[in-house]
This record gives sequence, structure tokens and C-alpha cells, in this order.
Amino acid sequence: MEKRYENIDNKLALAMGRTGNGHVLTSMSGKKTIEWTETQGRNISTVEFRLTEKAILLHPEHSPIVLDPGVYTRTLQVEFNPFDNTVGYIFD
Amino acid sequence: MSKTLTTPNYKELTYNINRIGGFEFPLAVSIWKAQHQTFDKFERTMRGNYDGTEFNDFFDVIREAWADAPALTTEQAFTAPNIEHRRVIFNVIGVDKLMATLKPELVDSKTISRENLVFDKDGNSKTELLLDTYELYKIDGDRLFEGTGNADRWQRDRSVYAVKCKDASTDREYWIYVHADAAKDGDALEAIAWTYQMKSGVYTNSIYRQGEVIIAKHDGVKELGQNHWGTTYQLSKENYLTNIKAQS
Repeated sequence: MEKRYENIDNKLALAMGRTGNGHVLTSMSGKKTIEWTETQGRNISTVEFRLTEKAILLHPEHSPIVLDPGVYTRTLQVEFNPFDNTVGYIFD
Repeated sequence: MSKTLTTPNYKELTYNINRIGGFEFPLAVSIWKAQHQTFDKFERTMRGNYDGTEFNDFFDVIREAWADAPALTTEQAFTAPNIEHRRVIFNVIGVDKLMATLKPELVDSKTISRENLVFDKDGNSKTELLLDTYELYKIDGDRLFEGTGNADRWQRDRSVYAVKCKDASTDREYWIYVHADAAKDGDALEAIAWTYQMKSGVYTNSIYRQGEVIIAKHDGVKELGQNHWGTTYQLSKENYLTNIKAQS
């Protein structure tokens, strides 16, 4: 059975940095072809999204990445914190 | 009946930073300065959703002290009287400055050549050959945690590991602390692969990374294996070498 997503739009912010710069996924046709569901976790949310057309991921400090149609999961890189012995997500 | 409000002497108070209390005024201002860079940013963040003038006196005092507040040093972290204060200061200073001070031991250095997809804004792609160097370093735990008392003896015996790598887009070097498990074989590639925490049950051959954002394309869902306990798992070195299609 095909998964149903809670949202659909032509843009999806995959992460917002502390500097205010975000990693924003945009449909290349401008149409609402990005469907997604965000599930809140303990520290961050997990975003699962489906592209029915190509989309481009943009950030002012990074080169663009183009994603083909398909289903994807977004997470964040992690780091260890030796001072409290925990694993946490990296935020720009 | 009238109520008399007395303005506290803010320089005599201690402050709560990142949920840890007891920071005296001069150190608190140095920490805030390192965290927020400018006073305006600090004020904006601290006022948050409050609307009013209740804290104007407090912000006036901080504004006055801001310019002369010395930059935070790793020595201040090392001389902090307890592990909680030390943790707050180290976190604010950042791993790169800490490493420059501690001169850690190089455990492993590996350079890999890999194909990286690069795109223009129209969506056209080409493959570039990249040389990525990863270095795994070890810090003596005794040095890091010395003088912090018995409360953290379990930590004092532990070495701390960090991996140094270069950002493909910005060319900036950055450091990431990794868990000791990620460094158990002394392999810099295993250490960097550990920083990719994937969702269990999602089978992928295609991973994309832009900065800290990791995107895994689903190629199917597989049964959870023995290595997939809980809801996440760390990427293996083998998958790191073969499954990452683009990094920027």
C-alpha cells in the first residue's frame, strides 16, 4: 500500500542553521511535487519525503544537490559529546 | 500600598548558562560573547519572546561590559572548578580550538579518492574525482578532565577521539568528536562513517550530504538485522565508501 504523506508543497526546509541559513529543497518545476511527513523525535525530527519530480537542495554556503524522483529520509550528521557522554546532532 | 523594586547588582550575581548555574558575571559575559558574537544578537536571543522593558537594566550592564570582556580561552575551561562548567565552556569554545591547544595524538590518516556528483542550478550533473583526507586523533582523557574531582572518574580514564575532515564545498577544515567505539580499530574512515546515523529498516544505496544534512534514498525496506538495534544505526566504513553519491 502506498504511503500517504501529511504535507505537499513546492519547497521543504530540511534544516535551518543557527545562522539563519537553511537547507531548502525546491521543486525544479515549481510545482507542488514534494510530499512529506515529519516525525518528532527526542532531539530532532525525522523527515520522510517523496519527490514526484526532480528537486534541488540549496544552501548559501554549499553547492546544490539535485535529487531524482523517489522516497527519501532526512537526518543530520551526529557527533559525540565527551563532556556529558551523549550523541547529539550537528547543527550549522 | 506601593511596591518598591530594587535593581539587583547584576555584577554580583551568578548566572545560569545552558541550564548550568553558578557562572560569575565576568565569565558569563565572556561565554555569551563567544556564543553570540555581537551584543545585538545576544540581546535578541535572550529577550526571546519577552515584550517589555523589565530587563533593560540587565541588558545595559551587559552592553557596558561586552566590549572589554576577554575572549574565552581553553585555559578557562581547564581551570573551571567542576565538570559541568568545563563542559559548557568547552562546548562554546568548540572542538577546533580545543584541538589546537591540546595537540592530540594522530591515530590514523587516510586519503580516499572518490567520485562525487556535482550539480549546477539547472540540475545538470557531472562526476568529479575528489581526494578526501580524514584524520583520527586521540586526546588524553586525563588532560581533558584533570582536576574535576571524583564525580567523573569514569570519564577521566577515557580517551577522547575526534576526526578531522575538510568540507567539500567551503574547503574549511572541521572537527567532529566521535564515540570511542567508532575509534576502536584506529581507522579514520570508520570514525567518519560513525557520524552518519541512519534510520533502521531503511535500505539505501544512495546517500547525499549537504553540510550536516544527510539524505538517504530508499531502495527498499529490509528486516532489521542484528546490527540494527533501536531506531537508528551508524553507517559502516564499507557503506560510507560505496553509498555516498554526493557531498557538498
